[in-house]
Amino acid sequence: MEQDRSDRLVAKGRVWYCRPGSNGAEFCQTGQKDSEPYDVTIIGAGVVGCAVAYRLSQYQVRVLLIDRNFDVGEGTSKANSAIIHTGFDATPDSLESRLVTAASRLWPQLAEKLKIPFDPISALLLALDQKQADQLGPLHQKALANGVDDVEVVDAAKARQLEPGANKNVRGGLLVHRESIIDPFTVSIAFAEVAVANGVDILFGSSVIAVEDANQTIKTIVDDNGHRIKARIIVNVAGLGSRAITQSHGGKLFDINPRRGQFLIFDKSHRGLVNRILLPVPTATTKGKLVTPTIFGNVLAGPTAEDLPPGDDTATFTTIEGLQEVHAAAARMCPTLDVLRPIATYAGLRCNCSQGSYIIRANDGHHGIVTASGIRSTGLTSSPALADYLIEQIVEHCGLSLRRDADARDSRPQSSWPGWCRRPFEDPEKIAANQDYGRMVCFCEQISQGEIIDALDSPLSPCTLDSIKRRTRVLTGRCQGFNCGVRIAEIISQHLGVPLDKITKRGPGTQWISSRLPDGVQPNGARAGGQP
Amino acid sequence: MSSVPFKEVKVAIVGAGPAGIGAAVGLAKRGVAPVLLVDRCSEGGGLPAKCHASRHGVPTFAVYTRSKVVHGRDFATRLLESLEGTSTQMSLETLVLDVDVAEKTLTLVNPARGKFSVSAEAIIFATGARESTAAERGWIVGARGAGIFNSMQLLELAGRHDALPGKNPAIVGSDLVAYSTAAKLKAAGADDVMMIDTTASPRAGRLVRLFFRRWVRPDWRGPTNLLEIKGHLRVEAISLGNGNKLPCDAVVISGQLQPNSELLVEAGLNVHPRHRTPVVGRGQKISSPGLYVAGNVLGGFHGAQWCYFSGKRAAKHVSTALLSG
Repeated sequence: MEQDRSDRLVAKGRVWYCRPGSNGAEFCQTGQKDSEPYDVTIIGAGVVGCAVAYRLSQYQVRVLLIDRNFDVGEGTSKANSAIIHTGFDATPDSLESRLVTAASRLWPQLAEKLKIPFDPISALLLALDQKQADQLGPLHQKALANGVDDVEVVDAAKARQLEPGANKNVRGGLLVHRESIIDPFTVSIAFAEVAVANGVDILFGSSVIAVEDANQTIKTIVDDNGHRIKARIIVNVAGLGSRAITQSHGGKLFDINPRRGQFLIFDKSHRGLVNRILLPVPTATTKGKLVTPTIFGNVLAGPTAEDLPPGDDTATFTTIEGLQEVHAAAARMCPTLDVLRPIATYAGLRCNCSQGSYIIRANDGHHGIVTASGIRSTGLTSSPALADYLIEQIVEHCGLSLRRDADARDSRPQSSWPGWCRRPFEDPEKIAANQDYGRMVCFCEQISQGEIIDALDSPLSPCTLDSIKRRTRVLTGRCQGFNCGVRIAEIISQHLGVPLDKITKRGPGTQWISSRLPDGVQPNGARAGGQP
Repeated sequence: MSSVPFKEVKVAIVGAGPAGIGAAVGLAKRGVAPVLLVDRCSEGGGLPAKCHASRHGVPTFAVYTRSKVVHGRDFATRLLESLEGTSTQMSLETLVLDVDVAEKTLTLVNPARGKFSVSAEAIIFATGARESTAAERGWIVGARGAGIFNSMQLLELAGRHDALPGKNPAIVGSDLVAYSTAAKLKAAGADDVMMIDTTASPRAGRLVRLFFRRWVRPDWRGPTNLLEIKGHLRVEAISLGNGNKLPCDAVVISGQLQPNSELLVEAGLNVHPRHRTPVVGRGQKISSPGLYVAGNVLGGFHGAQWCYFSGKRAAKHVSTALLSG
């Protein structure tokens, strides 16, 4: 037990969650009062922002990470296809292609270091008619041009042998080794946890409304809680919110047309249907809808690609047309899916820029402001390489000098593996030390009370239902909270000492229950004459 | 009830709801022992045990025995009492992780013992059912903010916390479960309760509707083939297939039970892929010898009493099979 505890990550940086009415008092008192301005302030704790914080935390710089949500990776980063791409089908020589290809080679080691569940299961691009089969050659050439040399064209018989569950009319395929599946939630969490362990501060629930004194060396970021945050260098990686920030300080504007992707999740009992990521042959307009196993053991199908009007960054709802379109496309690739019903659906918005992908500007409008936007669906893959690239830009153009921090860690300890992949109940010693690891709360995903409490005590001290869901997998199974929904809210409420009606799904405005019964009402169990 | 942990039993029963208890009682009557009854919840009794009669006395779960109405929790208490004095060993907070069909061995986990296994000569699955999720129904789409519940969560919130999910809830589903949910919400202080389903009229029969009239007359807004949930942070409204937008502050996805047959699927047994019901042969046997099913896992929607007798029937088949060798 002693040893176990020293094996835990300890937060050196501070983490604040701003609630309405706090008016920034807590942050101003403990965070920035009388202290030096932050060297670098990163706006946006999505996967890119967290990766930048992680890489910067290896150096002796004071870094603050700000996000309007109540957890890392709450925006674009939480709803994607959870794949680490090789970049085999990117446009050769683009920045996106370079970063994706570079990052895809970093991931196997990085995932191991950061204890992110990761599996290089490879991908099979399926040609379902002759026209598509004719495209396999050119796609192979494109992969080679992108420096992805471990791709092979396979014939119909081989494709059927590799994927017995796929459409029997397959005419051939392109096998892409190294295409991998990953736990997308843990990516942002792991980056941020190491960053906080190395002294990076995080401010959640803080929506930036203006950047003042942008032309000065020390700039002021103003947020909706009334915080005035002093920063020398600002990195704007706010995803769908990045345009508003650029506009507020007078940088060169770009347009964001969110592109919605809807997904279907099928139950774990159907995991055997697909062995690897099944991709359709891309058309001129879209990469198409894939069918893939997830690292959690489900089958995932999607996404759609729906262009939404600019500024529509809350349109993360599903539509009947979108879901039916995905189901039909999935059934074309894997016919058995036709009769199955998904257990859950979700939709996410990709940060799609009309001016092109991966818009990166150092000294955007003013010295010391760096903007990165238009990071589309490849952001999850490219994040570590993109973070390095952004830091290079900052050093080169914004005059930041970096000295390594000898004490900084770049990995998470063994105890950080998510509970669902290390199954604490398998270990008799853990059960002997703490019976909570054998007290199952989530029956579908087999998650214990001990794992939920570990997640609540983890370095970012998460406090919302969704943040616990992403860390432990509770509420994500086939019953979608039928059995455990209330139990989980109770555990959070007890452990954090917060009343049940203050528990939120993902921050203020999302209180789980809207009201309690009036006081003075007898609890139901106390009904007279209840027991025979 | 004894409490010495053992590794081998004559019969293992998965699920201590009405069906599982029925099976245990039936086996005890026939002298089959030892019998292990496991349940993943912290109390036995299954779904009825979660149904406290709420204030204003809404009988969320009523069973008629000998022409008397018994509420869910009382029914569960009686069931559990009927087990006392038998040699059945009950293991609560015990989740079945895995079934080895050939060896007839269950892998289990609980707080006291961690992971362990028990082998048996016969296994009865009385795993019950759950409500379908919104996605499984196929006609419910939209935002995923706060304020979306199912009936079980509502029962627990009302029963344990006196909490009301919303003042103007919309109920999705219209069977008996949906009606009792609506009654509970209304009695707990909701103003208006809307009810929506795909069917031309509510699924619940006229008797059920009449019975619940005392507490609630839901505002029937069906039929619709589409329901969109609006509101990014919290539920604000629902929008139906005919274009009607109805303000509400909570959505309760209710009824339409799905069998809990996942253990059987994962063990490689024959289960209907869409309806998830196990393929059952004569004597409640499933495709592998020595395995039986009882209760709502068989599919459909049955009351606690039916499940209890289904368990008893399974016990009869099991004991006959065990005696004949």
